[in-house]
Amino acid sequence: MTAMTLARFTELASAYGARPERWPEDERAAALALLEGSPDARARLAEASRLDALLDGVPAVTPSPDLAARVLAAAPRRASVHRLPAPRPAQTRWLAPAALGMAAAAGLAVWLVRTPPQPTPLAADAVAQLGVFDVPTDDFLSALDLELDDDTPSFGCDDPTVGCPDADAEPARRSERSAGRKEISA
Amino acid sequence: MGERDEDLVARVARADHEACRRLVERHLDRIVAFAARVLGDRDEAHDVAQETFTRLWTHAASWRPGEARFTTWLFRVARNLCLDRLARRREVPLDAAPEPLDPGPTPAGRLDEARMRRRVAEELQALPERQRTALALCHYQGLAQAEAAAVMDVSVEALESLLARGRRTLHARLQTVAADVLERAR
Repeated sequence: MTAMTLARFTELASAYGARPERWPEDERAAALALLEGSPDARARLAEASRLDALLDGVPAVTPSPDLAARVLAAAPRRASVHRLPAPRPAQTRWLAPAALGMAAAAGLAVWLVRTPPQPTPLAADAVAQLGVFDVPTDDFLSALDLELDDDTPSFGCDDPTVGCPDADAEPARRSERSAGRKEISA
Repeated sequence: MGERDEDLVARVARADHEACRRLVERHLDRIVAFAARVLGDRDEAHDVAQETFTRLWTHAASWRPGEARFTTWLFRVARNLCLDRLARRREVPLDAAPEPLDPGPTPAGRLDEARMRRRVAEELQALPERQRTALALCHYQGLAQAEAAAVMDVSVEALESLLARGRRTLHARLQTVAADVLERAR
């Protein structure tokens, strides 16, 4: 225990008053030890005690009787969390089935709009009407007086110096395959 | 010794109304008394106490036990609410003002007991807010130095200085009253 000086004792009494329980705990024993043998310390204590008495004469304000009830009225209450929901007013009860029906209709509309149309499978006779297009470009080229076997297509080329055939000349030949195809399609 | 405050706060976070009631039982009186000492107004002290507990109900779920003692937190909330009200009164900050001069003996003569208490209460209210709050926490509420300092967010040394200055001022202003107390004590 560190010895206490009168100066420090005076500071303690000036700040905390005369009651040892209000003094800092770690200095209390030393202050009490000084008080035992020091008349000056006792005089400081008496002075502080007079001010304590004046301060103690001012009574504390006590809460009004209803304050605790008001404070607790705003306090959380677990029971309210689990309370059953109150029944709905009668005039709104028809809203529930109506809302359910509207929700179902809306869901159906969304499904119809968002589902892609499924392709209809072709019937067998429809496939037959399309014919067999194993060399489908022949007829197209012959309609333009072009030959599939020509090295340089005359379509869009009219300069003989670069190898374009004379577009106005009579076709030199027709492929037998093309002629045969025309007969088939006819 | 009942359940610790901190455990009760944890129960408040779970909307345990009984825990709320026990905390109100333990601390409502102290908060009202403290706020009344700081504000000097009974009705405002009631409002502050009610708001302090409302904050507790709201913030119990975010309470971190290791950060501060519950009472420290509670008084700090109450003090901040008091400061808000004092600011609204447009109170001029007096903490930076020099120590008041000793006014000397008043010619009023002896005061009866009620008048004496009123005079002490008036002088308490005339103190700068921080000195008044320090006295309210340490002298009237009996908080330990470290806790009172934490409530006010100052060091223990600063708290001791506030207490000493406040008591010196009161001693100077109440000398006549003190003499009267001594006279009655004989």
